[in-house]
Amino acid sequence: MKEEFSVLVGGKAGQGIKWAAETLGKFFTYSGLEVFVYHDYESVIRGGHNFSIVRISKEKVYAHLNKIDVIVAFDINTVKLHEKKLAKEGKIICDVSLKHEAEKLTKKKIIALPLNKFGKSANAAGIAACLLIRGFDTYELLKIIKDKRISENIVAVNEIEQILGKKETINSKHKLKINKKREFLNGSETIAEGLIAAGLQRYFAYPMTPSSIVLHYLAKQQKRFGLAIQPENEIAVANLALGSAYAGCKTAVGTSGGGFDLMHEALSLSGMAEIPFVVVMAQRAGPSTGVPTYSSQSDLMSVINAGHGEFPRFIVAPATIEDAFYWSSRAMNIAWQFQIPSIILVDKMITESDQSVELDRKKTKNMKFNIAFPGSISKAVKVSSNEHDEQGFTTENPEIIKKMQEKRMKKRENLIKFLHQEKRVRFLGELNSKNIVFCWSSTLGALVEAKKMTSKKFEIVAPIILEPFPKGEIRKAVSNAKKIICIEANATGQLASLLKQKLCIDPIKILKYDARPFDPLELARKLEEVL
Amino acid sequence: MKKEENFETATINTWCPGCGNFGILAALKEALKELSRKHGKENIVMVGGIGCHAKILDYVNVNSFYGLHGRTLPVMTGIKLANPKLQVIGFAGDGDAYAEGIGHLIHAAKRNTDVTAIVHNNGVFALTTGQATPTAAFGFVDKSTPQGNLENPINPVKLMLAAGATFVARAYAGDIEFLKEIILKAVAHKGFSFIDVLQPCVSFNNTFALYNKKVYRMKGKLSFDEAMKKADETEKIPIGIFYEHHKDSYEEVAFEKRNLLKS
Repeated sequence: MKEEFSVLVGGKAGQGIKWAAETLGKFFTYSGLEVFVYHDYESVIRGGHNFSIVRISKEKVYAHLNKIDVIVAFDINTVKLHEKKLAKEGKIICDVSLKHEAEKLTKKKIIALPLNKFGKSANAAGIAACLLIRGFDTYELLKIIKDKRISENIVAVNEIEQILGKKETINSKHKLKINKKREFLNGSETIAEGLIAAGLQRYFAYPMTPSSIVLHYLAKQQKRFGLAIQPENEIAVANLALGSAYAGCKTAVGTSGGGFDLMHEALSLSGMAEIPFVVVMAQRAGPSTGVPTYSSQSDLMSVINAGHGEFPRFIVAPATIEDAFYWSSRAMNIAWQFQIPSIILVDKMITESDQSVELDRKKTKNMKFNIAFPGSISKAVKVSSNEHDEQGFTTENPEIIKKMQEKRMKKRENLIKFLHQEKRVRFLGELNSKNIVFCWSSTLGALVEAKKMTSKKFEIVAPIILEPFPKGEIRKAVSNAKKIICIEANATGQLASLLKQKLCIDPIKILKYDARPFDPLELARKLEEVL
Repeated sequence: MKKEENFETATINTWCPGCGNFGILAALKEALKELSRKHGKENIVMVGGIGCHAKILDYVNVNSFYGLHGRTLPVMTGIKLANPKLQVIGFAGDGDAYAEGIGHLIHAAKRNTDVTAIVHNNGVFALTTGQATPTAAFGFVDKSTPQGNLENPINPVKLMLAAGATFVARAYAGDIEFLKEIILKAVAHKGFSFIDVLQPCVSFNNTFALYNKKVYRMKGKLSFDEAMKKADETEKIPIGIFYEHHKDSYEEVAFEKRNLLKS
């Protein structure tokens, strides 16, 4: 196979587009290749237009590209909307009924097959055709297709193989060896696994895209850790979580922007009562309901400033699906060690994209903490939303108020010291370059890919921990910089404003706020303009 | 012999002299003596919202979670789901339970978690110096409704019956002995138990004389339909258990019947 190629699977919601892309992803991952899958779907259940891009490579890939080698089209709209993305030698696989119309839309090679004949297994037939024309053996595919329609899927795959075996020449059948130790996961799953690794016992969440997959996954894993429950609303979610943590269970919640807004009061309570509170906060495009199923990085300021009053908090924005595993586990342990709110800030590109991953489980730990819970000691354990003394009794005494406020804020200093052992910032590219490019969270993926496409030299600086802000490391990194750029998927440059606030750095901003992730190619062009 | 626990704390009580809350505190302390013997004091957890009622947490030397206004019930549920061995008794004002957090109350009843909710119902926001709550009478005059309350009060007993609560009771802060009995029965009930406590507020809604005249103890068991009817009585005000029936609690299903709990 060539170094890399990309497949776009498209059609209407309900046609099994996501399943097809994920099955391809699993196939190549288990075969030892590296995969990144991006899912683009509208907020509809049936109809509309959904597509997924599967990028396959010999090297690790962190983002999808809009340059496609094979399109598997389950409707004509897919041809219409995406044929421009096809490479010169690119091919379109579609049902025979679409052939005539597709030929009018594109000059690219069309492989028309009787996909619709297989009914709901049309998607299995489509991906089998895709594998065959790329010269892969479908034998291993059958092992991966574990589905309700397994027998129908097998029939579909076999028939497509017979047809294409006659029509297309399979030059070199790649005999891939399936290795199921390699994992093909989305960020929601790596987050959930990270939380479980740190000893998660209770998970509470109200459905909200793009955080719901964490709930779905954990609901299926309950036997491994405890309970995953969907209460009446996000306010209940947050308060259940505080009650649960107070009673001794390692607990986490998941939500997106609007749901997180409803949790602010409880977040502040967590700060006051010093109850560990772990929040998986998956951003989507706002303000308000915004664009529910699309991506954005516009809630950094929200999580930094959420909740009234002053209290320390930990905010981590893992930059990759793999990192999300490690940092979710750390976020849980930090919440418990310091008894503070701990926020895992991610976005749709992380929670809903899939990648081939190798999770380093040795790096995570289910740590035990010496905290008193009701029932564990004879003394009463009292926590309070009111200002309170060391025993938990309400106070209005100015000396005690001052002392307790200082006690809580002191935890921030201790946390800063503790975090010295962590890689709080990721540095990539030409270290000590005069050109520094900042980014955070999932944008790192697109930036790493963009870097491969440009000859411009620069150092990538991606802060992973955003509160307490890693000032020292960043100051050092920019000390010799001539040009500083900050790339973010929001309209105001929220990391840029943090850099200005904390370090008086005023970077050139490259922003994107159309609710779509950065396209590496487009990003490379923009970087060439400014560098 | 070990001196009997009196649950006293060093906190100075700041309720107004003669407040109905003193009756609730007295009944609770009596009930706690029995509950401590039965379950161990360390296994009892009190949860409160915000308002005059919640000060009760500072006055009782038992595990407590002094939470947010309106959010007593989700905190109680969270505690119970974390450790089903704990006996969770929640306290809420009528502002907490019937205004800010009414959704949680209905869902707690629906969920049937084995916890006990005690609502200090005085028909007024007292700690904010007197505004109408959802149980304030039509025409009630106060700071936020100086021309009289334009809304009709809700009926908490009927609301909880309709929501499927498996133990629904009303008590009166002026009848301490009966309140204590009802608290003990509510805690003993497996499933969600609810007590609406008529609590006169001497400063903003003094109903002592009215309740002393009208309140009477119910005798015998009521069917669901009889309970719904009984809850409508206003000439005389019945107190006692309106309705009780057994249904598996949420934790029983979640932990025992689904065998999910790992530890």
